[in-house]
Amino acid sequence: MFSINHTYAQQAVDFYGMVGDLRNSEFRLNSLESNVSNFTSTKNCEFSISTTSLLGTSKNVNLTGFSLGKKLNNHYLFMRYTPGIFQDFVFNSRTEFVIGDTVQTYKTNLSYKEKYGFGYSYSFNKEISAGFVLRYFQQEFGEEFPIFSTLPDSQLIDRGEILVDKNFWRADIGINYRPLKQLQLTFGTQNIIVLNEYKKDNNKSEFEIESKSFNLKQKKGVQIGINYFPINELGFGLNYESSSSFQLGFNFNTFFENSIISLSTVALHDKYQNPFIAGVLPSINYTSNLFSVTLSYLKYFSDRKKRSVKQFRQKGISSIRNNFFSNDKVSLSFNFALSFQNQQQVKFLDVNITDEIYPTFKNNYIDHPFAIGKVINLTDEKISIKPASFISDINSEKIFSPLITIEPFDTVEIPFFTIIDDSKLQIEKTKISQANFYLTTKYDEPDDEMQKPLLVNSKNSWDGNVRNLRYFVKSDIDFSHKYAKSILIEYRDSLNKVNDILKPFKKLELLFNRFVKTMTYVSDRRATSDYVQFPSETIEIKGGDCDDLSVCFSSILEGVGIQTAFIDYKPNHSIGHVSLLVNLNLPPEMSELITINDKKYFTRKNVSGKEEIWIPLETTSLTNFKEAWNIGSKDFYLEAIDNLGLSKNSVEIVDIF
Amino acid sequence: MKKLIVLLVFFSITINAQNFVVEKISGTVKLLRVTSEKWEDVKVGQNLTGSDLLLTEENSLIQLSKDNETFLLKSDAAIGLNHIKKISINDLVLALTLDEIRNVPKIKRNSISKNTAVYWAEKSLKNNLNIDENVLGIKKINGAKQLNESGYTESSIIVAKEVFRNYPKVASDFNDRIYFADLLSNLKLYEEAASEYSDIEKLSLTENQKNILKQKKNEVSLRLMKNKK
Repeated sequence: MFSINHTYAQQAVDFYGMVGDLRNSEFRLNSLESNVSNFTSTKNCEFSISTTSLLGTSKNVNLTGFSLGKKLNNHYLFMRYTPGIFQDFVFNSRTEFVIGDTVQTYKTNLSYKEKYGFGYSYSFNKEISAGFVLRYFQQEFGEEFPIFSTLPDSQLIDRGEILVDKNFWRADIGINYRPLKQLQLTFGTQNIIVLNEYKKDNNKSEFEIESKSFNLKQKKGVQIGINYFPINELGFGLNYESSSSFQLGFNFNTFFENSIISLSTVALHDKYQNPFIAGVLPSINYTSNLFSVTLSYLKYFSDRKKRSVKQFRQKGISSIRNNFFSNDKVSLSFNFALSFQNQQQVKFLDVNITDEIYPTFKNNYIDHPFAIGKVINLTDEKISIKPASFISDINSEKIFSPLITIEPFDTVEIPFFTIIDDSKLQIEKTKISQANFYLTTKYDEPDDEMQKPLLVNSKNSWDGNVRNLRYFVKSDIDFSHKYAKSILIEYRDSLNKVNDILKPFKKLELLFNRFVKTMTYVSDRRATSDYVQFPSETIEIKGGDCDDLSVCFSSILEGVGIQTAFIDYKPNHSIGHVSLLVNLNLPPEMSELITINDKKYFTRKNVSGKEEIWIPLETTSLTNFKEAWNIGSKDFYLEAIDNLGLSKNSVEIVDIF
Repeated sequence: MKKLIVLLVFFSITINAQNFVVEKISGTVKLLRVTSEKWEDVKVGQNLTGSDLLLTEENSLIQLSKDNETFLLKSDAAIGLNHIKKISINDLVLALTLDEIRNVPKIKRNSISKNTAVYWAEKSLKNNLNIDENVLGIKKINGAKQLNESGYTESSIIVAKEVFRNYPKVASDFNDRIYFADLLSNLKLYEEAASEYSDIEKLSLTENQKNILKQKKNEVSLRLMKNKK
């Protein structure tokens, strides 16, 4: 007989070595031993498989087991099959026979296996989750004994064996609490419920009674853990068991675009193993979006070859995977994402189209959003979002808007900008297009998409905002430059006689007088929507309304470097008007060079702070320059100055840059 | 879209706000119509409208009447008829904001051609053309002072601001600048007055002028502080 003390080897050791715990891996990089609360940061369905090589034994590589985990909203289910978690002991029994010179020995065979495991957990909120695990253990104890058979001329001693199965279920519960993003606390029980399959039988054999002492130890206890991540790249962890054992570890993480490499080391202290730090468990892990692989090595510091049967009889075991008799091990584990769908990090709540698309305003959409998306962060992490949009009628590829960072579980409004492809500017008819919106986080594929109908106007469409007439001015600037030059070249000789300071004024007069010769004022050719001609169209058609003529003549002047601005007489009782202000680059001290009447000009400081004379010009006054200037001045003086229109914003000067 | 015909109707509504009758003339008095390039003589009994500009030479005057009120424009002054009117403090403050919004925004221009301004030529050209831009400016400042004396203080400030802008040499007269800045202070527009005093500080000043200005700035600052309390 031998007796077994109640000593408990460390139970919370699995072979991932905290490599995942210290960085909240999106794969489950621990198992039921260390993670009694069945907590996971996993959002997907995953499959894992692990192998173990026992060093110093004839058993090379064993399939340790495989597992399946699935997150369903706040519920997480986990199951594993582990044929490779076992440990066998064989030693001589008390029975032996000496027959002649031969000693017949009989063995006692002890086999321990952990076959199945199940876990369930529920996340109450982002801080707290709780769960339980169920593990099924098989114990088979056998003792050989002699069987005597008497024959007529001899006696046979045969070998028989008593087999005792002592299978049981073990259940534990745990809770996981994360008060801070960087701090995680865990609590779990050990052997809180043990359900034995074997029944009590008063007619047991001596071996059956004796084999009770071979059972895996089932003393109740608790394990408490704390993980602290001061920064994403570094984590520390401590797991303490009430049997006075602990694991202490840290890891370093290096983040790449879509992957992480982690190095971890854990020191194991077991009260009943020597030395004080009984072993270390270094591990290295690579995690990508689709899979994770972990290589770990469990090294004990005591010499395992000197283990004796006596020691086993005295100590027994409480853990199959890690005990006084365990060999050094190398373990290789793979986790695979099964859903092959990236965990959705962000989601559209809605997208509001704020602007129709006017192709000619193409530069406007670079810094003014045409749509605002309302987006929610579904995770407990700060996330960077790459918003993008694609409108097939104006884009050739996805257009990315600026990166937006969103706090955990926060909702933000994201502006969407676009760039109109030059090859798609010539839109002749207004049409309804589909705008596709994308939110992309760390994966290549978008986390969410939304489609909204959007009005894409024709190239001549205008939204009525005088500020946007600037785009028509600029779009034909090359044409206007050539047109203006072709006129001025005719007056080269007379221009050369003009002092430089008066040249802008003279050019203005010459260009306008030539411009009005061919032009006719016509009202807008569309009754319901605004239609603006490009300068080249106005020259070709030889006419237009006030905005067509203002746009065209502004473009002609800008084409030869004469600065212009629109005067926007804002709609008053549905009536509005557009005319021009022209910069003569003339200082006010020299106003008398052009007029004795100071109501006919307006001084403005240029970007250098110097006052310059600008004159108003009514482009629809298609008689001559003087008349157009007089009419323009009169209207401007009355509305903008005398009636305080500029201060009251009923008149606005819109500079063309 | 916007039609010119409708537009002209729109503008015509506001054109005639000031209708004056010439009651008395002494010496040389001239009139410049709103966009005219030619000074005209003025006759007693003549109706004057809109934004016409009246100008008196030395030892001259003109008396106007409107709605049983009279306005006397003394010698060596000029005034736009549209300014002979009462305006509210609010409208004055609005008009003063024009200085902030009228300037060209400081944004880089993307024109394909360069401007052709040649400032080095200014002086010689002016001398050649014998321009004296001060005359009308000084007369207008005198006119603005007479507006104030006639009780149209708010209008007078608006006129002065525009004159100072259009006639830089006139704007360098310390006494004129102080005169109108003080009017702002008298109207309890202390922030506007302080801003004006700060602008005056940029002029080339004598020690005495600097002391006067410093005292005025201190007075306005004290009043501003009291108002904030």
